[in-house]
Amino acid sequence: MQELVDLYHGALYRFALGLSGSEHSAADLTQETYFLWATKGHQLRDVTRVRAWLFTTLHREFLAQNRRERRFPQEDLDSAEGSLPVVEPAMVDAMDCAVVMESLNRVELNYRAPLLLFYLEDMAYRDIAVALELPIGTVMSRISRGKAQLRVLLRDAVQRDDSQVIPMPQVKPNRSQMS
Amino acid sequence: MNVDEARFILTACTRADLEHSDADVQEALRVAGSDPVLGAEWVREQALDRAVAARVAQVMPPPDLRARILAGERASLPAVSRRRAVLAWAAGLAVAFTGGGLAWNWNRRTPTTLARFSSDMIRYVTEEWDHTFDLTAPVAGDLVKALAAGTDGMRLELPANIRAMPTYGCRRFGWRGREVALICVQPEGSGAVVHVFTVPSVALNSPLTLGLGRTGPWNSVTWQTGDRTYVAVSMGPVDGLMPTG
Repeated sequence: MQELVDLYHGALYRFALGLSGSEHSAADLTQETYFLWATKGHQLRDVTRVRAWLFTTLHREFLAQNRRERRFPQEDLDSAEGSLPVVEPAMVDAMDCAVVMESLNRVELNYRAPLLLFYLEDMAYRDIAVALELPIGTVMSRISRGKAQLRVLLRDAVQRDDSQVIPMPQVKPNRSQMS
Repeated sequence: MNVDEARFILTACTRADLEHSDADVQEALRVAGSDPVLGAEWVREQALDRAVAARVAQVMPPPDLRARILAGERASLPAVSRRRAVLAWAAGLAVAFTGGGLAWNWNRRTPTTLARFSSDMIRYVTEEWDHTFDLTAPVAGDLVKALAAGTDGMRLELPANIRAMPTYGCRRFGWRGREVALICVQPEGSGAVVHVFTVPSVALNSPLTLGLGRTGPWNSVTWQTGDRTYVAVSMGPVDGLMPTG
């Protein structure tokens, strides 16, 4: 158990935070997932699928809570597709990780889970499909559409950030002081 | 494989896919290598993906989360054999049901947050409960006495003003392995019913934020007396319910 916690609790927490947008919920979901592993994990016959099992379980718990709370109004960003904004990696490098997570959290729910697992980087898309209990083609399509939404959201975040900067008045060089 | 199919596959390719690429990924990479537009797109896409992934990797779990997970696991699974654990689990289930209570997430004994308790209780009232009672009485104080006189002697300490309020009844049910009691009272002059829930304080992470709160349209007030935590929720005012002194 301790080894499993050491191996995956960071990634599970990041996944949960991206899904829920709340640090408290993310910690609760992670804790709940390991609790379910402690009580039901012995039912898993194939030990090579522990990681997928943990992510599947966390995702199911999140969806169950989400259904109960019904508090995730989604913005329709589909109209932005087809004219994707250019987001340079340097723009993301300059962002705080909280801003990036906030943008990920605003991606439509269907696309959010595959996208988060994509950015956790250690799962192949076939593993993501297993973890989320979705067909491979659906996962690929959702990653693609999720990335498109994320670009729009990151672009918006950059523009919001820029709008908070008050431009200084143009200062013209004082020619009388120039030789 | 055409360019669009290759683009579709490459967009979903993770680092793990590239390290252990299957036939589809290899073919998509070959197409990208022979198509300058897709090739350039793929380079930009990877750079952006790396930048986002690097930011995601910077998110760290709370420093105490690992210890909380391990402590919760130890608390929930004492060092007994799997067989004995299963037998104990089955015995607990039998007791819960023969006791007449509703077993609701009953085996999850890990302490959780007050916010989770409050939201679960509101969900219980709005979605789970069939609005029947185990006990009824004219005022809440009578219910408290009846509960204390029961075979398992549940001792509640309600403030005097709540004990004197007219009541609809009391319901007991399981929540994360603990027994919760719900008493519904009708404050004088208020149209809104107040649902008073109580659970052993060990079921919740401490320290708790006591006092007034709000969850959606529900007002809540939380207090602790003895070894129990009380949460009263209502669509109406609750600020007069908290015990003083």
